[in-house]
Amino acid sequence: MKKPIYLDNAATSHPKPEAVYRAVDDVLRKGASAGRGGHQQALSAARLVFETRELLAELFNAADSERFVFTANATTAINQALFGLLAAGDRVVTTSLEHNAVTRPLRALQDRGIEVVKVVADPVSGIVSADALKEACLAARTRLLLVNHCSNVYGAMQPVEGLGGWCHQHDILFMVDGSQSAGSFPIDFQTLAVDLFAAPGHKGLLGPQGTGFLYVAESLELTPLIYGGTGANSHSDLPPEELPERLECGTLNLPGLAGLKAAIEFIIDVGVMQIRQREIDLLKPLLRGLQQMAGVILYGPADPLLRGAAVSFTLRDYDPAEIGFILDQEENISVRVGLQCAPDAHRTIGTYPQGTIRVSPGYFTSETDIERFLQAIRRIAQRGDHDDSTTGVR
Amino acid sequence: MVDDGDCVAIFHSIHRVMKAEKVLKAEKLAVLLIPVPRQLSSDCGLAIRFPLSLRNKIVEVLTDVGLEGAEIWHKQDGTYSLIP
Repeated sequence: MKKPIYLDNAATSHPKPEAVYRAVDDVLRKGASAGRGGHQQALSAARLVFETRELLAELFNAADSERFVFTANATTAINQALFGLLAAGDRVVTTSLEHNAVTRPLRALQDRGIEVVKVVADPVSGIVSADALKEACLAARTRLLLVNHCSNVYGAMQPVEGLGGWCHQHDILFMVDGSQSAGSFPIDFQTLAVDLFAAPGHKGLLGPQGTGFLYVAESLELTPLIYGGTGANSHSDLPPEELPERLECGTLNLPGLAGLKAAIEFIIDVGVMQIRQREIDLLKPLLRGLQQMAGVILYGPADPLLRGAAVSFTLRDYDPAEIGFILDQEENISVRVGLQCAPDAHRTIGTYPQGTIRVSPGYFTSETDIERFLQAIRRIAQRGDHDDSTTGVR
Repeated sequence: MVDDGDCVAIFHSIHRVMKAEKVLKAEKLAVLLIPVPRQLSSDCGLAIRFPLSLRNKIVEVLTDVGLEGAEIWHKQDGTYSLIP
C-alpha cells in the first residue's frame, strides 16, 4: 500500500498540529463543563473557553472577545446570523459562489419573504466584481451583503477589502463567509469592517471538527437560533441578553475548543503570513503541473496570489468521480470530487452537474505529496481506458 | 465562603467574570472565583470575592477594560449592601 496522501484540506484540515491532539485528550480526561458549576474543574473549563475566545480576538484583531460565539461548525454560525438577523421584507445581496451553507438558509428565508439577489462571478476567474456587488446593493434598499471570502470549489479570493466600509456608508450590513480563509489568510476584522463573520474551527484554523464561530460586531443584536440552558440566568425563561451566552445554548464542545485553542496558538506562533506563504509555495508546483498536462482544464485564478488552496480541474471527458475513485483505490490519495456542496459555483464556471476534481493541500502537505499527486494524474491521463460516459460507472 | 468585610463583584455573563478574573490576577490582586451567594441575584452563577481594601483598585482595573458594569456588594453583619 502506498503512503497515504491527504489533499482534502478544504473539507477539513489533516493532520492537525500535535498540540491539538494532546489538548483534546487532556480535556477529555479532566471532565467538567464550562459555565456549569463553580467547582475547580468547571472553572478551568470556563477559563479554557474564555482563553480560546481571547485568542480568536487576537488572531482576527477584534476589539472584544465576547463577540465571538462558538458554534458546532460554520454552517450553524451562518444559520444563526441569517435567521437571527433577517425578517420579511429584507433584501440580501450575495454571490454565485456560495456554499450550500449559505445558499440553503437563504432559500428557506426566501419562503419567509426575504429577497435574495445573487451576483454572478466571472466564469473564467471565478471572481465577483466589487462594482457589481455595489450596484446590486444600490438597486433597492438592502439589509445585508454576504460574500464568500474564498471559493471552496476553485479557490478564487473575492475582493472583500473595502466592501465593509462602503456598506456602512450605505447603511448595509456586511457579512463574510470565511470558511476557506480563516487561518489561511491574514484577516483583520477592524480593517475588513465586518458586521458578521462565520468560520469553521477545523479547516484553516487547524482545530477539531465540531468547532466553529460566528463573530458579531458590537451594536448588532441577533435573535437566538437555539434556546436552552446557558449555565446562568437560570431563574428566567428568557435567554440572557449578553453575548456570547445569549447565542450559545447547551453544553459547549469543550474537547473541541481545547483543540481549537491549541490550534490557534500554533497559528499565532507560526504566523498567518508564513502559513499563507507555505500555501502559495505548494500551489505554484501544483498549478504549474496541472497547467502543463494535456487534457486538463484548470478553473479559477491561475495566479497563486489571487487564490486559496482549493484547486479544481477536470481531465478530458473523465467523470471526476472516476478520477477520485482511482486516486483513492490505486494511489491512496484523498481528494474531493463532484459539486463540493456549491452547485451555484459550478454553474458559474460551467462544470455543473458533473463537478470537478478538487485538490486542496494544507500547511502540512509536502512538495513530494504534490509531485506524487501530479504523477498519479499523469498516469491516469495516459491510460485511455476510462469510461467515456460522464455518467457512467466503471 | 464570604466573610464579614468581604466584597463580592457580580457580572452579567460568565465571559465577563472570566475576563475580570484574568485582568485582576494579572494585577496580582487577591481575588477568588466563587458561586454567587443566594442573597444576591446575578445573570451569571459566578462571582469574584475580594477584601474591601482592594475595592478602589479593582474598580479601576475593571473600568480600564470595559467591565465597569459590575455590581460590587459588601457583606457586613451577615447582610449585603450594594456599593455605589
